[in-house]
Amino acid sequence: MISNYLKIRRRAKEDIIIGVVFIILAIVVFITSFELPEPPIATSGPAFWPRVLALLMSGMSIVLIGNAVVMLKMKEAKTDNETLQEEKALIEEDEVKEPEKGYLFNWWLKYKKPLIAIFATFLFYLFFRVLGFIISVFTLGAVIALLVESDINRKTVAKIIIQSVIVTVGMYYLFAVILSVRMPGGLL
Amino acid sequence: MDIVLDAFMVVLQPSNLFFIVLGVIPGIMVGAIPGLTATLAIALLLPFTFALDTVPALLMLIGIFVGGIYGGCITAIMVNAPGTPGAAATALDGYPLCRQGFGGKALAVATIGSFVGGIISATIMIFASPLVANFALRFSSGEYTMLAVFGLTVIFSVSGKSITKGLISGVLGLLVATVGMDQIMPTARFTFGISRMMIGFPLLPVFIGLFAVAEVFRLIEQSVTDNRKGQESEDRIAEKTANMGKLFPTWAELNALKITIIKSSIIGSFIGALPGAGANMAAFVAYGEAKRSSKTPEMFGKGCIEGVAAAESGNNAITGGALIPMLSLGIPGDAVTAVLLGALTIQGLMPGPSLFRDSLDVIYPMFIGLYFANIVMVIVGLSGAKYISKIATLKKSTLVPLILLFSLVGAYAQQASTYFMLMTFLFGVLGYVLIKYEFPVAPIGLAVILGPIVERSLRTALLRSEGSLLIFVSSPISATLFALTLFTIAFTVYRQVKKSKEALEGNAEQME
Repeated sequence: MISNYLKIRRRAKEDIIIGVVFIILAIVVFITSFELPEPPIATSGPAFWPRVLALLMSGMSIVLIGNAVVMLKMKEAKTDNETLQEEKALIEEDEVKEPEKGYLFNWWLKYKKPLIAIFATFLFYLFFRVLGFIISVFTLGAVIALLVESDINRKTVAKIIIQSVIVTVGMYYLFAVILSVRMPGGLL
Repeated sequence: MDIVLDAFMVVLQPSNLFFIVLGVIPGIMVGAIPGLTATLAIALLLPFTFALDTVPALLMLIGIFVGGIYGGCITAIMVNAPGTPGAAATALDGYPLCRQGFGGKALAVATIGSFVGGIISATIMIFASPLVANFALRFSSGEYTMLAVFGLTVIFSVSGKSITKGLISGVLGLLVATVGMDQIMPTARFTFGISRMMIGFPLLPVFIGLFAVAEVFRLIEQSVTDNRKGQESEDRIAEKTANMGKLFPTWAELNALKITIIKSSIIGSFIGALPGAGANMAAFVAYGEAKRSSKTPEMFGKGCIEGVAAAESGNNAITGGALIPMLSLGIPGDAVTAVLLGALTIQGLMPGPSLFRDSLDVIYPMFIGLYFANIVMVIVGLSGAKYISKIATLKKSTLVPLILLFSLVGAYAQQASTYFMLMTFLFGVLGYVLIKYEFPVAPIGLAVILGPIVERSLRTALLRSEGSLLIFVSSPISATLFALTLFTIAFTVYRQVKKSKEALEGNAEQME
């Protein structure tokens, strides 16, 4: 497949970066392990296993990088026009809306929602005790539903609000009443 | 015999039976939803078991396990969207049958096949596990360590598309497991001075985060592309289903299928017992064998009821099979049994050879519970599959927030701890990122559970050998396992390189 070529290259570049990240992680682990006490029988101490793992991780990461480098060495025997066509095909396959606006813009388009979701979840954690169970659960539920909902109009928003109320009440009953878990009251 | 009778009496208590049902039904429901696996079902529903005593909790988990593995066939047959990987083979003939108006029959056969598969594999498990455990009890810590290492290596290698990435995921998981208080010497490892981290990364948040929350973020990302396609049908994970037909197989038809079902069940049981081989492989191998030995192989793929029977029997038969190494050796065969093992650990049990020595009053109810879980499954499946499948047609905007909220609140609920919630979130992000880069997530879950066990076993062995690493190759068993491990790693790396080379050459040829 023609457009596979670019995909493979992109994947290979990503793999190299990830491989380097993991090697750095392994090095950090290895260095940190020297802070741990070393008993008389060194191999039975707390540092031994992490060091073994760090070595294994470095080894596998090197294999990963090596693999990726080999992939990148693929010869490019195409004209500029062909490359452009392929890039277009690749972007269309990614179902990205505006190929003319470049990679970064389209990356944001694609990852905007998950990033918002991640941020919202973090806020949920941060303010769970402060705002209390009811407000937190209702809010996050509504936000995520709105993110996922494809058709935003008055009707669907109303449905989502009703849904969030039901979910909040249901979950409260399930966790706080049936399972007797103490939930923070927060602001209420 | 007394123990078995006692176990029967325990399981037959109405409250315990209730918990089996309480596990099976949600298990089927989650299993039916494409994209949500049995692993996720157990992870999500795990918090609910904490309020229970050990035996009811285990029975509920077994129920979720059995229900989850079975549930995938419902949507596989009705909408060609297998709810679990193990149901993929069922869709091959199940969906065509449904299109032809025989959906009801296909579902019924799938359910009955699953039931028989589950019963046969449970029986095999009951006889095999004590034998394996007995054998393993004689293992020295050096040999046991090598066994665990070998098992881990195999599982990591087969987890995903790239073997290297599977191994890296696994090692990452093992590293994650080292954080916290050291088991043997009272020191804190990698806690960076944060006292909360002395407990390390607790199992439950790690699991819920990696399997449920990561999936939520992935689904949200997917909704972006779906929305852009502008298709309304993508709002639902599965479209509304076609006409089912109320057909039920005749006794003659069932009779004709019995050999296929029994054979597939045995195949599934054995494959389930192998580390790294899961429901997917069992179903396809059983399917392939049924096709090979069938009198009408050309009908397979077009709506052959034999295919459905074989695939589902094989699929569900892994339930008993996978429990053999998990219970008797403490080495799970795949992600689902890994979560189950984690659940057992949280309940305070120590799966492994000693489990059969010390906790028979828990083991045998579990065995009997497996039978009853299958019974409940077949009853619920035959009467309610159609209604259960409705859940798969829930809108994503309903399902996704529900999963996320259940994950976060469920993790919090265990100890009313926001630390747990934070960990769930962090591992959700980690899982999401890893999936993006095509790293399998299941090995991490496995490693987090097995890591401490392997390390403890390793260090005990080294203490015994006074630091000499030779203890891992000194006995014939451990030397063989060591060689096998090295061979597995080398072989899989070699295969990976070969695959990449072929991809390269394939592309090069096309360009010329």
